[in-house]
Amino acid sequence: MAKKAYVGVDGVARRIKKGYIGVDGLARRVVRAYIGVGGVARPCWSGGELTYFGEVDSLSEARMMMAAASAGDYALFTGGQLADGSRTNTVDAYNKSLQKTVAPALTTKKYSHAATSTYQGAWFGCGVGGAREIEFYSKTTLGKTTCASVDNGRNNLAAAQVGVFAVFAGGIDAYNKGSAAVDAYYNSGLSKAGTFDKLSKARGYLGGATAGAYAIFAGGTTTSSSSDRDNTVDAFDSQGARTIPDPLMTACPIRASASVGDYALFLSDNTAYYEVHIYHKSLATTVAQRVAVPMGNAKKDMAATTVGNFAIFAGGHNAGTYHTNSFVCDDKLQQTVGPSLQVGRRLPSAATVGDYALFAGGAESTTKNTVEAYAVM
Amino acid sequence: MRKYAIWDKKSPVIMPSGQVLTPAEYKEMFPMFKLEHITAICHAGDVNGSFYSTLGQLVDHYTLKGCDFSSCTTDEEKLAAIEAFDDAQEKAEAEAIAEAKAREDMQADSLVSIAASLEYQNMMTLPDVEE
Repeated sequence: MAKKAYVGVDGVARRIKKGYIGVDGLARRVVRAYIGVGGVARPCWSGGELTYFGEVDSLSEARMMMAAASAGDYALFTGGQLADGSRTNTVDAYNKSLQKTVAPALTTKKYSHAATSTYQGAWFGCGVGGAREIEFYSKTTLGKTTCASVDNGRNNLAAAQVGVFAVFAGGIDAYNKGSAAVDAYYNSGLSKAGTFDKLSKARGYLGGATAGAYAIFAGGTTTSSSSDRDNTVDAFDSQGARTIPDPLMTACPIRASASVGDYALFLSDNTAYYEVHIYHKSLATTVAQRVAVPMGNAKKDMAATTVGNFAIFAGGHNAGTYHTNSFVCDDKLQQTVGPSLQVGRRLPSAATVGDYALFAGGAESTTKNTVEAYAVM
Repeated sequence: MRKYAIWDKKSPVIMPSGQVLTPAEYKEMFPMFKLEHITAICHAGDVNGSFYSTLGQLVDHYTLKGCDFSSCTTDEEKLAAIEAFDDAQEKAEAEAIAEAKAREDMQADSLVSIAASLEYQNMMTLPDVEE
């Protein structure tokens, strides 16, 4: 349990969330503080720990395979597939106080679309149902703008931010084949950029994350079949130039990816142990790292987001069993099995708002509207 | 094909971005390589900075995958064992893909043959045409 500390500001007690201390001329973050009481060191403050916060307001509709992203002080959960298999265009927005509010619906009902955040808001694109559409939500007004469509409609693609661009890459096309298409949109002006090269290999079900000055797209499948696995990795810089870093050590589709510190992380769909592929901001990669899970109940079809210094991977299932454990990797690449969700579900979506990471929706025997939060406190 | 090499901690490192780092700069990027007892592993190619690891970490990873290091006494022998393991895996995968393709082709040929036979039988049931 985190210990709290308070400081008086204008006659009001304000909780100290983060603390720093100068060591050799550098500001170092205080993780835990102790005070001597009766000759014994007692913990008096812990800051920056990841904890399970609890359940918050439910989604408007129980659904899975949404696309989620942060837009300033909001986390947006868009679209998805309902219990009867139909699509929806509902958008639920959660603010920093975890209150749910209404945001404009997507133009088309869709699922398996992609999402990313840039400085000015959140982007949502393509998917099953609206295969060529790109839409932007402003972080200040939550107003929606429909942008120029992509040329090649697809689903199960990936998105990431680099420089001034929101980049949508890969996916599965109408013929169930992988796509090499890459579409980039200027963050300001919301217009389409024509300077990005295609992926070096056409594929869908790939992961997308940002590390430093690169948008990295990793792994995937070359067709809609999960057995056609690929380990290719492409990286785009802020000018749209493509580099091909070393491939993943294991060819696999990537459902969950996140950025933390100087790294982009891509989680394999291995269900015996958690295996994460790591790319440094220099595009160097290292040995894929594994975390053993008791009884081999790691999962696939998870979601991921980053809050504070922690990338959290949660949700998912293992051969139809919905274990609730999570996988956590911090900015120093320390990896652990993390705090559990209360409700196990596959194909949830995740986004961050303020100090909270929200995991929403998904499905077990039927779709869920549950939203649970982790917090850095 | 060799993927990994031992970095001598004295040569420059070329990053995937095209940046060239001095040994000191590279060690600042990955401080573990400042430690004397750590054997640094890099990519075996021009862009040697595209992969970084310690030898121990790499051996652990390949041990879990099934590579046998029991007969290795030097660091280079361990890298050679990894190369042989990767080559064997790639060969096995290529053979499996070729076998699956051959089965698919055989199945396609069989289906064409069956279709042709059915069409012939169908034709034989039609009445003769008188000229």
